[in-house]
Amino acid sequence: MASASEPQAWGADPDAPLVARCLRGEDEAWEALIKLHNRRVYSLCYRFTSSAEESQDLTQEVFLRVFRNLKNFNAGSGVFRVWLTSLTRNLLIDHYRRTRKEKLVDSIEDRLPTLESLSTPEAHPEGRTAGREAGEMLRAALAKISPELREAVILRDLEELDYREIAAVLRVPDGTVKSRISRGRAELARVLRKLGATL
Amino acid sequence: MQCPEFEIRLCDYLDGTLDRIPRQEVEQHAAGCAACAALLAEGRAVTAFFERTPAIEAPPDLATQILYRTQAARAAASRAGGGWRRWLQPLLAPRFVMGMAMTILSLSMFARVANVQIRQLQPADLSPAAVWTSVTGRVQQIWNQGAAVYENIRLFYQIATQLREAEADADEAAPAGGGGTSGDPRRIEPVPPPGASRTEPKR
Repeated sequence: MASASEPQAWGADPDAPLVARCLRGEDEAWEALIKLHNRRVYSLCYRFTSSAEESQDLTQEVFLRVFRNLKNFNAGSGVFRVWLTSLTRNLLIDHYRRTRKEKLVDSIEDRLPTLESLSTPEAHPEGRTAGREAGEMLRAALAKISPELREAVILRDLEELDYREIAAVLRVPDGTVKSRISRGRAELARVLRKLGATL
Repeated sequence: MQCPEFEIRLCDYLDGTLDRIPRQEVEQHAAGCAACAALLAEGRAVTAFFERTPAIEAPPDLATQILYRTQAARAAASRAGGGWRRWLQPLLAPRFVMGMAMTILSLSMFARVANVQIRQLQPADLSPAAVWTSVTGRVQQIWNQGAAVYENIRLFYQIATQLREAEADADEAAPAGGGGTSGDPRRIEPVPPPGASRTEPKR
């Protein structure tokens, strides 16, 4: 089992040429980097905050940090995508700590009746799609499971990072990552069933 | 296989990346362990559920907003950039540099006049009495030098004047006497040393 602290041999970073051009001060490269990764960062922020407005602010903040710290990114020690995900995760943790009190008040239990009503067809005269309902239920269910399981599941199943990348982001061994993903999926399934989702 | 190992291998099992033997081991464990069997079933169900959920799309103008903010941050950084350079900018202005050069020149001239040896400067040299003595001594020396130069210049002009007068006298005498003493109108009579009695040439 590989330890997260062990140096890992990363393959070729597909973003490396773009990052190098950014470091040379090419505006076009910076714009391309933003266009390439803003959806991923926004999606990750949205999975954790469940708020479009907060996710936009956080995504902008992430890229500001990237802009200021890109010179500190060591291309030899990992791929840009992992570095970006780690940076996003750190920002989300800071954000979570800042807004923890609000989150406790606005907990999943408070919103549960609303979420349950989403799953019944008659509650949507405007005709929401099944995919959108599934997305809403998934968002609610993710908010219900423990943070360490949630982030492992999100990074693997929704952001599609590989296990080694997740291990680097979370700074835990690969085995721990896989264990958390398995337990997180099981917990998520239980919550989804509680919310009325058909699995 | 124990349950913790099953949890780890389950991911690879569901990804379909396990070889035949480890795959059979996972299946055998699930067949004999209800908790792990549930873990396997729920893992399958959730991954299938994920496929039904749409991907989260970022707002279309998000990239533009990010660009705007980073450009604003860059502009702010360049305005504030090089803090020490911003503070030194007035000092590097040509007018200030010229002023500083003139000040240094003036001070060095003053130091030369005051006979201040910068390299040998001691704290005692900076006492007011020492500075005053040095300045007055140097001024006296310069005054004496100036006075000597003035005396030399005065003597020179005195001699030159006498020569011109003698030349004029010779020019006046030449038409009356049919020529000068030597017959050369350009000849200048020797000037006697100061204090010697001056005798008029015989005509």
